[in-house]
Amino acid sequence: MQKVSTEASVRGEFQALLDANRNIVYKVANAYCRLPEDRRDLAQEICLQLWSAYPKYDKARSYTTWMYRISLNVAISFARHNGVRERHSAPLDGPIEDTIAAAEDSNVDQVRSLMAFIEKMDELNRAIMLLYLEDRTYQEIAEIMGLSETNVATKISRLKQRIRDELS
Amino acid sequence: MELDELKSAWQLMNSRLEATEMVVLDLQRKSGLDKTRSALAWFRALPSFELLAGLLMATIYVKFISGSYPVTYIVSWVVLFLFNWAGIISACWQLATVSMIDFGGPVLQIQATLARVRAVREFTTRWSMIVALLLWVPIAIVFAQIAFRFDIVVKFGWPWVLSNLALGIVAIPVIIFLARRFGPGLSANPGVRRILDDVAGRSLIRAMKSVDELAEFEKA
Repeated sequence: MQKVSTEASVRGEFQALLDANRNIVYKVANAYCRLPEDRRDLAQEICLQLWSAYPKYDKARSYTTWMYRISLNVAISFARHNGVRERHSAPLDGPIEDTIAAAEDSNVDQVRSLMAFIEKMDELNRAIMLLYLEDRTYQEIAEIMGLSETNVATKISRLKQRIRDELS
Repeated sequence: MELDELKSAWQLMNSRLEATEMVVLDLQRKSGLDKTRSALAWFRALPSFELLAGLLMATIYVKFISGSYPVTYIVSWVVLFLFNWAGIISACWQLATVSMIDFGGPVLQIQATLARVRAVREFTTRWSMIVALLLWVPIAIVFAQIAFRFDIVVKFGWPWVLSNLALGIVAIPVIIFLARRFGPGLSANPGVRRILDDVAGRSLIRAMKSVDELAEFEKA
């Protein structure tokens, strides 16, 4: 009886953390999948992986760092397994196109350019780009990716240069 | 355009997409996930199947070595036994490596481990299919002895055995060449294309490239 209530309490605790940080799951899914069914499947798989890894989560460490690590690991594996990158050559799907169209006038071109740029990137650079766009510090990005801060700074500097070259 | 200018566009698009799609993240929906699309499930499913099949075969093999048999049978039996155990060991290594992965670890480290597992898997698959072209002779020898109690080598003679082995040796480069040359256009079926990619070595090359890309990415 006590075991059941402990499990329920852990599940509740996890669900509360997930609810508070669910935007991380959506953003990672959006960065790696264009099609709505891909995004749904990926978001669900990330959620399940987070739950199965939760017992190993060290509460002394940052929850968002841990969540980003799992989400990105699952997303990269999912993209490689399902050939999501190949499917990016398809035209923009409804929800993303609708979202772009609904954006403020001044942002429409930026969103389109950004999406086109992201779709051309490999999975690892895409992860760094996503973390940078999410305003994560170099230190956090380094910790999530398993790189040195200097390496992260170099890669971000190259990404900035690529954007300048390709989108100017 | 600067990367920092795109931050607000990114935030806006994500918040709108989140509001539009309303994806429900629910732990109860586990059974609703399409297992064939789960990359992580595949890492476990294929080696698990190979391990079970290998152990089943190993159990069956053991039953057919007690008693007196011709030397050709024993040699064929040992070859098949070793081949089977190589598959079991590979499956065990893949399963052990994947089950020890903590997905909460650094992205590069986890992806490098998965890439190595994928490379071992592609190597095992490719060479299992290629070696199978030679193995059918020992399989025929063992099967004839077990099922019909006759010795193929005595019945058909050494020229038959050697010519079939030679045929297998010649068939290997021919099949690899054909898979490389005509593979992508031969069939639209993903399963057939996958097998042709495996035989041609394209899947292995992709897996090895992935390992190299990750090592390269880690460098500044």
